[in-house]
Amino acid sequence: MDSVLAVRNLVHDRVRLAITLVGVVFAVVLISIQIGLFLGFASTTSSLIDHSQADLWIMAAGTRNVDQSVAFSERKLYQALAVPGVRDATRLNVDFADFQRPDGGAESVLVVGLNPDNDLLRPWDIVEGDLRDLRYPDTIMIDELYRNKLGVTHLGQTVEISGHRAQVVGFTRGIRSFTQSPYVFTSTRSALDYSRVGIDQTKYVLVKTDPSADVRTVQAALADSIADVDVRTTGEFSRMTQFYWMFTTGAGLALLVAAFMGLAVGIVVVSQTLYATTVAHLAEFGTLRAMGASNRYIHGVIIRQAVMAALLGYVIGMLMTLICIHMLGDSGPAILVPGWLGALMLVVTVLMCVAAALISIKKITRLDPAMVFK
Amino acid sequence: MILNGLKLLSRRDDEPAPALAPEAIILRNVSKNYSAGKGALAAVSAVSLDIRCGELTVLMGPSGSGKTTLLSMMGGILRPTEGEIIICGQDLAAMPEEQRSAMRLAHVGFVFQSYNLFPTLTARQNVEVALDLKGIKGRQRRRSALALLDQVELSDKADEYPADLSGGQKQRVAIARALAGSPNLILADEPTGALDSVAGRRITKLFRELTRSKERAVVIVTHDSRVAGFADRVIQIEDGLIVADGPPSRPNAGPATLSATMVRRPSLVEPAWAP
Repeated sequence: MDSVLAVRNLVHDRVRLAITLVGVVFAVVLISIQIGLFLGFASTTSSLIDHSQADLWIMAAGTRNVDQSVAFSERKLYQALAVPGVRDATRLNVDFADFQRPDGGAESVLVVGLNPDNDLLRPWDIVEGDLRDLRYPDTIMIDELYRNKLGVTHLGQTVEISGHRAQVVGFTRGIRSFTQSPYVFTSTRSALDYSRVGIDQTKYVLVKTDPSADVRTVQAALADSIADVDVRTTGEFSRMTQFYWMFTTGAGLALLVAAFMGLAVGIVVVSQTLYATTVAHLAEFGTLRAMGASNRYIHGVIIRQAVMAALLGYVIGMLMTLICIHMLGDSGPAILVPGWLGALMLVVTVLMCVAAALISIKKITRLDPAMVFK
Repeated sequence: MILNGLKLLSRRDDEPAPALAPEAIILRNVSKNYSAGKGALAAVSAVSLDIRCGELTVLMGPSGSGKTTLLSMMGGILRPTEGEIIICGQDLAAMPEEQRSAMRLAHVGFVFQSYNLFPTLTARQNVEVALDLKGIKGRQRRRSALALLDQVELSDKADEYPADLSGGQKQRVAIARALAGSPNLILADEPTGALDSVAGRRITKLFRELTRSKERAVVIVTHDSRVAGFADRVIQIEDGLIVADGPPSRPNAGPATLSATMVRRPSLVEPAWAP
């Protein structure tokens, strides 16, 4: 019966219920969008690393993220190949370059120079064109998200990067860049023309270890045998890059603060409306106390009201979040709402509403049952 | 106890002594003081009472005389400043709040002047709440609720909401709720106060019937002298003291100032409603 009483109390005043739900939905949408943006941005910052098949990354000592690093001698690639447990290694150049738009404007791009015949890193989700075309000199692939930004209208279009001509031979879908400089995929050879990396230099060496080798052991061996470099596992470098962009630049912190604000506003709105609902039914709670209901029973009614409001608000809020993400589509910012975030939001929403209900519980605990005789 | 003694003295010597029903509640020197400024205001002063099962007792007195305070203490809602309130051999006054709640739940049913029904629940659900509190669940709870509503002749209104019921019907639902779990003490605060005379009479008769089984005592606080006509016992309270205690037509003088009070209230002696 406590559940029936909770439901009836909650739905009795439709306007108050609507205000409660607005508070919960607002909090759910705001928190999930902000955390979704955080995850989307974090995922974007390390997408190059996460999509590689490499086990280890060799980079100049002190490198903190994949987009900004110092080139080092190509000879270190061969040193790496000589280390026991290394099955394969390849060069990777990531460097900023100037992209000349057909209308005369310029855009900054991140040129990703890779070996198209090596599977340690390739452009992924290719929707137009053929990866093998990148074997030819002065060919590039860009993401279709950046067609307008770069003024690229069709496959085969000739563009200009750092004063060199390049032909667009393919489009990928959904490869975003966190720095607002779109990724331009090309061969290692062509990348040398577009970037400031010297011909005998590289920014990274990607390493694949033998299946029988222990990655940590190979990592230590590479660090010992190659001077002035850092050797990171793919996971380590991914987390490092995400941390750099999300926290040292303040971008992630801003999103988390916004998510926290959503939580705070949600708690305030929900606690106000749940409190009002409780006060509206104060006489009934007084009657329950006079009848001998334990505090646990009465608190149970209030908590149930809060949980029901939370569940209703959660369902509506998550639906609205998914609709927002769908409406933004690929052209908007990356918003990731994985299953675990959905589950986390359910827990957060219920906790938020229960926390809000505590104020009402405090009021009820102090309720004098003698009020029933007044 | 003195008053009970007076009753026994008035019995003819050749009558066999009736077996006394067990006490539903015993009050011993119960007082309740409220702080008022630097001093204390005595709402109830050293009241001693035994109320037996099968008795319909009416507490009467002017406003502010302490009758509702006394009723609240009998139900364990208020804790007395001094004295003992014994229900089932346990002193309510000495119990902490949670324990008093549990005692209330197990042994006391309340009926209020303004019904205090849950407006969002149907008549049946209102009764079910009380049964639920007592740990009766599922179909058993539903069946018991309907049986209780049947007892107050409201089974046909089981699915109606309080807003759709008349005042008398609401009060009967409240009585059915108070009867949930068969408490041996029903405490009613002005149960006819918001009712017209016909509905009031019906409710009063219902209370009268509740005591027929001799397993339950009913205590009614009222200003309505007509209710007294149905009572086994009328207790007159003034300024927190019992000033009269006895059957409605033959009130006995209490230890204090009975006679004058009773003379001023002829309606107690000859109730306008004949039971």
